[in-house]
Amino acid sequence: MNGPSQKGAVMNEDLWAPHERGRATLFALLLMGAMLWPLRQHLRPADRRVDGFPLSYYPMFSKRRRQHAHVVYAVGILADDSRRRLRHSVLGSGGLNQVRHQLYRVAITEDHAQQYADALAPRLAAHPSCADLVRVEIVRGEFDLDTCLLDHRVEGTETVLATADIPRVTAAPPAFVVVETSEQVPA
Amino acid sequence: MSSVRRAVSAPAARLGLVRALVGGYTLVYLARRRTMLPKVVRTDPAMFAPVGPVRVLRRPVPAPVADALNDATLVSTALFTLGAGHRLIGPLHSALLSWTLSYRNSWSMIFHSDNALVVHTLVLGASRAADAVSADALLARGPEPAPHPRYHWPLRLMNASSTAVYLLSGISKVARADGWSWVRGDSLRRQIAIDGVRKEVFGSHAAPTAYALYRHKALFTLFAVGSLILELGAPISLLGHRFGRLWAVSWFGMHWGIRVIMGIKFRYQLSGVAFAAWFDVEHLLDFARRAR
Repeated sequence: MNGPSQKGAVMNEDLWAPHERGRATLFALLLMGAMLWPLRQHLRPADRRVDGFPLSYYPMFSKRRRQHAHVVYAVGILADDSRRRLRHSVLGSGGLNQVRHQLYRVAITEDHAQQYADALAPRLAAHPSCADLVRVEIVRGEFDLDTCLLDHRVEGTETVLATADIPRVTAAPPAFVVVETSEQVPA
Repeated sequence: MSSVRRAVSAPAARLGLVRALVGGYTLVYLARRRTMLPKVVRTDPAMFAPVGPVRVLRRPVPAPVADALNDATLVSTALFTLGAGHRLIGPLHSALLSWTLSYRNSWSMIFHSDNALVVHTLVLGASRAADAVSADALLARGPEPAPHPRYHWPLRLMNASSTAVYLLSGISKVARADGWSWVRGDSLRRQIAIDGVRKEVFGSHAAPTAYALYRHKALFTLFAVGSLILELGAPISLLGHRFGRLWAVSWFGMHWGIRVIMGIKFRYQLSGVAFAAWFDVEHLLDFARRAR
């Protein structure tokens, strides 16, 4: 479709380059067909649907949401047993939602919460914002969404999936990296 | 020129300026991620979940190769924005951007905000989007080409692809097991709640508006009805200029609403550039000329 540029003269208004119109039509049909192709995901069972990029069936915002929901996240424990939720940028790169997806995948889908905690602990030891932590826990929190939003207080019931002590003399291994980003989109 | 032909023609400057706007947006978007992308490609390989063209890979490419491709994409974006060597750079930039953003989305999280940008770039890269408002046109030193359908179809295709995105989003909402119950607004309301809870437990903050509006259930029914009308009614936007512009402005407003209530940034849409193809943007050039 990238024909030669029109140099030096106003183009004849009726002139198409040879095959230009046909190629444009074919390209448009292929593109729109490809964009609508993910619709076939709706014919599959919900748990077997696969999203893609840049061709997607756009499942965001469409999941059925109930009053209670669970989230997997990381909590730092201080010497006096007080608890502090760890910021996503301490856990990994790519933004809050990417870190959240990765943590869920490791801890729940692959059932490797302990390996995640073991890998995370030495990195936290090297992180300045975590100097006061003695232990990290990977938890699954159950939340009553109505209570959280109406009372403006995000508190739920936590189930500890894994725990690891934070060593105080080591450098960070390269398995996961830390980056600050504000990129956020819904699952 | 017949009235029919006029209706399916567009000035080269309109398509050229849309190319420059989309390219300029991409340039800022990628430049602001120059420090993030090298870290993302060094994530634990176990998290690699390739999508799109990256599915040809079973494992991540070496990080320096990914870095080089990111840098090449940045360079191609600059040339694409300038409209330099578009016959070669257009398709090359489309391919590089598709790869780079697919690779960025191949770490267990797909950012749907990038989909339209990639598709729009594919269209622009495959069209004669640098016959005006470009380095190529400057170097050619000729008069601006007359309006022609070849400058119109890419804009229509960009609009059709945007329409498809919203239509697919709408279909996803009503194709669930409980069908049209989404229209009641409960799912949307709770989606906003769970999104806020996730932000809070990962050290960020839910949008204050989410807390403020949550108790008003009827409002979410209104939001749900409105968004379904805009999404399932998206094909109406292709019926004519007025419908198209009405829908484009409405989608723009919807994204800003999502930004305010949920704190979620669909940056391409929020910038307005995603909707530029609906408008006679070449008039901006006239304003600029008059202002000088």
